[in-house]
Amino acid sequence: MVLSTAEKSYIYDSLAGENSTRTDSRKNNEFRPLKAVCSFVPNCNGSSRVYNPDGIECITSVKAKVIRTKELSDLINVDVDVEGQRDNSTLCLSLSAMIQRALVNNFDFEVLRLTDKYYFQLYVDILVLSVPGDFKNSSYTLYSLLSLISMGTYLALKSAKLPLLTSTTNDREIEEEPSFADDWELATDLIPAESKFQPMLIFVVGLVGSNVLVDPSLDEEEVLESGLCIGYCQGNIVAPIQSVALSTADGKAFNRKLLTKALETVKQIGQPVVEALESILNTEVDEYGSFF
Amino acid sequence: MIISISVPSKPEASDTKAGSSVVTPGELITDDPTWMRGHGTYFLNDKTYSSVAGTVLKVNKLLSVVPFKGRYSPETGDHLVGRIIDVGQKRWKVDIGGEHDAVLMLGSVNLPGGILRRKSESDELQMRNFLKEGDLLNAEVQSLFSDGSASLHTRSLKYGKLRNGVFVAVPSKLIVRAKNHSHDLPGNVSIILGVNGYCWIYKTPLSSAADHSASTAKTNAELSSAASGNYQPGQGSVSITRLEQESSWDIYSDKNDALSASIKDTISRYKNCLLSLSQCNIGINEIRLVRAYEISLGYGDTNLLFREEVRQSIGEDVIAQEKMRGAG
Repeated sequence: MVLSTAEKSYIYDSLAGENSTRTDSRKNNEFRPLKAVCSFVPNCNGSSRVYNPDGIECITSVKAKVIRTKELSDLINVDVDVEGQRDNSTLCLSLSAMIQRALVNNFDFEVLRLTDKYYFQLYVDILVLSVPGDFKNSSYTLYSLLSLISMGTYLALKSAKLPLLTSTTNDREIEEEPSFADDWELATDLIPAESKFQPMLIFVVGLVGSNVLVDPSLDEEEVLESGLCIGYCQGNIVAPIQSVALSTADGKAFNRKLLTKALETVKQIGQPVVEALESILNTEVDEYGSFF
Repeated sequence: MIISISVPSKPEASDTKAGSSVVTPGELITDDPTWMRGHGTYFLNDKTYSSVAGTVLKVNKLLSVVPFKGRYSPETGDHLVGRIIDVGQKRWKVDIGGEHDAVLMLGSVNLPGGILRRKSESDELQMRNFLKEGDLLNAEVQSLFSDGSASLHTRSLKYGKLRNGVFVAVPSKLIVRAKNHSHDLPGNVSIILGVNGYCWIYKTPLSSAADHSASTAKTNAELSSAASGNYQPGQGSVSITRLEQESSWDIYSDKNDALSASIKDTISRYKNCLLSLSQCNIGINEIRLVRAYEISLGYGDTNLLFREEVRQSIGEDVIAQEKMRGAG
């Protein structure tokens, strides 16, 4: 969808003013309602499905494998696949790289450690479906998906289950490969409930005039002056903090004060988002029960 | 509330009644070969199957399936809202949400300078100055081609480029066909409910509000002048004079009028009401939209209306009111 000049100026004027009114009448710090389920793919350790009212859907799966390594940054592999985009397109590659780097930098590798030599390696595969059909000839980009993808990754990682380790861990120097229980009923959580560690989230905010908009919708993206992605982990702002091009239309430089405002906004919204995600994790999933 | 994340609702298990006329793609409708096969069906080994999900419609011996969902298929005379996606040789390509893009010929638009002006080569060269990619317009389907694609025209003052408002798309099935698809609503806001499901909510233009009184004043004046006996040629031909007056470059302007915050608030309230009706799968017409608007006023602040549960309850209230008052 390319907006007409009149629409653009209408939306821009509504957003940039002192009392901004967004086109869908949200407040500046509100998200659109999301839908999410987790652990619905049977052959993965953890999975999630999140979709927003634009219809864009993000399916994430986490698979684990035991490897022998010392290099901790190898332990997480992220692959993003966007419908209608080639695997080696800039969008897919940069989304994968950003999510991977963000996860590696803010991960508690203790939860992946089996012995001193063996670790779980995680493969996080992300599939983005139902990209709007007119994406090719529109001026918005899909970098705002970072936020949706990171919520999907959060849910998938938190819902991931690993088989129970049966071999001894007393001697961490042992050479033989770890062995696991066959019974999936005994599976343990990848991130144990008592662990304080939470996977990180990435929020995308739009900057326009003197306002910071959370979760910009596609038509808002076309008029934004610039966009930022900001990492959030356990109550703190973390890397990446960088600007992302939310639209190919000409942007503007932004005021330094606006960056502080954006960071404050993310700090504010982080906790409610985490709580909402946790409540999804706690809902019993009975995806198949209703059909069989 | 900063965010709401919910588990998607599951399809409710409904008891399938015997003889229910709802069919799914590939479902056998009949093995009686005497039926004529209409839209939404296919024929294999003397049996008729449905090719879409919808309800079976039988007219005499013609069997067709009306799909629940699907792309809009244009008909001559439909009032549409569309978006220019391409500028070509003497024609614009317009997205109308149908299977094919519609065409708008350079010959079927009003150009600055009035109806009697001839189209010249320079008009062809400056087509992008009239309408360019992304521009929204309302138009009427002039004719259909054999493949079902439409040719549009904007040869009337009520058609043309759209300004001063927001665009909303709803499923085309929900728009109830009516005599008139552009309405002035309470709150100084107007709407064009395109038959193709594309809608435009905008500030009521000043001339239209003043129009009513002006036209009555004019008829009075005409009456008096007719009574006094000095009739002038072309006196009754209001439309042509107005066309010549108004089809200056202004009709292709991209500039919005000054819009107050309250108008914008009302527009976004109407937008949310439209989306509420669409979310609840309620057929959309002017009366229901106005009722939804009145109900939404009871919910207070506009920025509550994007919530799903609020939209759901607005839709339910509209249905409940309609049952109470009757459809009128």
